[in-house]
Amino acid sequence: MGVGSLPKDKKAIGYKWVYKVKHNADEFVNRYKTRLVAKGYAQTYGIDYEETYSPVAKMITIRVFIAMAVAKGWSLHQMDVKNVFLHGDLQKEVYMEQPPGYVDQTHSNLVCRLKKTLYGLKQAPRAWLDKIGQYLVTSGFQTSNANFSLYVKKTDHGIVVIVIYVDDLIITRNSDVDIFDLKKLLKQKFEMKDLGELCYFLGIEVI
Amino acid sequence: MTGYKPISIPLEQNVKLSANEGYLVEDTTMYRCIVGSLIYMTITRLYLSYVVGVVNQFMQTPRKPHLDAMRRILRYIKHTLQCGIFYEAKSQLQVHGYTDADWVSNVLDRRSTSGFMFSFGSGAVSWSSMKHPIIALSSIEAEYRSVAIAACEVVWLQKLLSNLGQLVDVPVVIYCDNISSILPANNPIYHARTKHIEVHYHFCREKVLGKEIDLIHVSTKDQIVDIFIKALGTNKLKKFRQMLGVLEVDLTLRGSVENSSSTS
Repeated sequence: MGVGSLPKDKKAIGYKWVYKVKHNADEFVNRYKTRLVAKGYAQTYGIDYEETYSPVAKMITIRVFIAMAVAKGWSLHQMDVKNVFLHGDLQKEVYMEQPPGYVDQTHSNLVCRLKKTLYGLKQAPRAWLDKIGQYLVTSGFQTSNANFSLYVKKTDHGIVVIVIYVDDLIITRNSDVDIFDLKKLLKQKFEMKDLGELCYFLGIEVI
Repeated sequence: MTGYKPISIPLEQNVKLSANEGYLVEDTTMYRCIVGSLIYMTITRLYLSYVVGVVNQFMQTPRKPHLDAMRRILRYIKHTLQCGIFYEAKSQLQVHGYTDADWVSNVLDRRSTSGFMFSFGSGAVSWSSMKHPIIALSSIEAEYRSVAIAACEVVWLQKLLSNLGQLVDVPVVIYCDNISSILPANNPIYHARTKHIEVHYHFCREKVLGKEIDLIHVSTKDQIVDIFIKALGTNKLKKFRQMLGVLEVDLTLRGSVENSSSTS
């Protein structure tokens, strides 16, 4: 993010702080979250954003994936990307007002130029999907033509499969070496939370 | 809902809901929210697909009978709270499916309902319960349409599984209980009477002749897909639930009443 004066033909969009209480699966308070969100409704199509559509994995794919892993005795792992929508790269020039509470009193007329996406921006989900997709493809994965959220890689030890549902990743493989390598690979690039064996996904309990 | 008793049938048999009878529900948002949640539940509770589809058709102007039907589903969920799809370890990974149609089942617009189910390994992975977008003139036409929809799903499933490095034995067996839809698919001599359903007909025939799918007759009493196209009685419901790979396991819903009262 860079700070500077707003170009004449551009419009700066606003910010808002959003506070949220996160609960565990057992309804206990887990943590309190604060997030800076952009007022994406002020964006204009063609100027601040273009593509916004971001597909998620089909439920059938997830079920087939789980059924196959279980039948073959492969273990299922789950990972979560922290602050997922902050990872995407912005293709368009987007300007923002200075965030409330952090306004530089002497230069309050200056605005921020965003380099990466923020929560609330229209293109945030799409930019994230492009980012992780490109990273996985450069790491040797292939996108499935039956479902674009499914990535498969054939390795010396066998096969590694990832299903992506926005910030939730479920992974299966037929060798432990591969899963270790993959987790390392993902953690290098993104801030990730390793949730270990799959147990709770999209409100679906796996036991 | 906590005071309601569990019930073993989610939708009364032979009761057809009408769009205009009964007084209007005041809190339409509540109705829509609950139906929305029920739709999410069908991701794992496939046996609810048909009944949820029925109450879903009255989202626009819900009335008292629709609300009652929805409450009945919630009571049925209470009855089947412990049910979930079970995928067995080390099971044979083969795909097979069932398909069926209920001709002109909807009394409001006389459209048919069709359903299919595919299982992979020990449990169902793909299923559908849907009202046709157009009216079928004969039962064979409705059956054909549902076979064609199922055949499309087979094509997609094969693609997905080959991406996952999983070879599928062809032809994929699809069971249906209507002999008249099986015969023309295998044998062109019956063609004359089915001319007006050519697209679906030719699509199915092509898949059968190309040995991608195989249509096999199944007796009505073993036709699992009935659970996706009509209201059933207790025994059949229970039997079909088990045949779909749904077993009773120790489950608790997130935020369920028993759970929160014992922990607080």
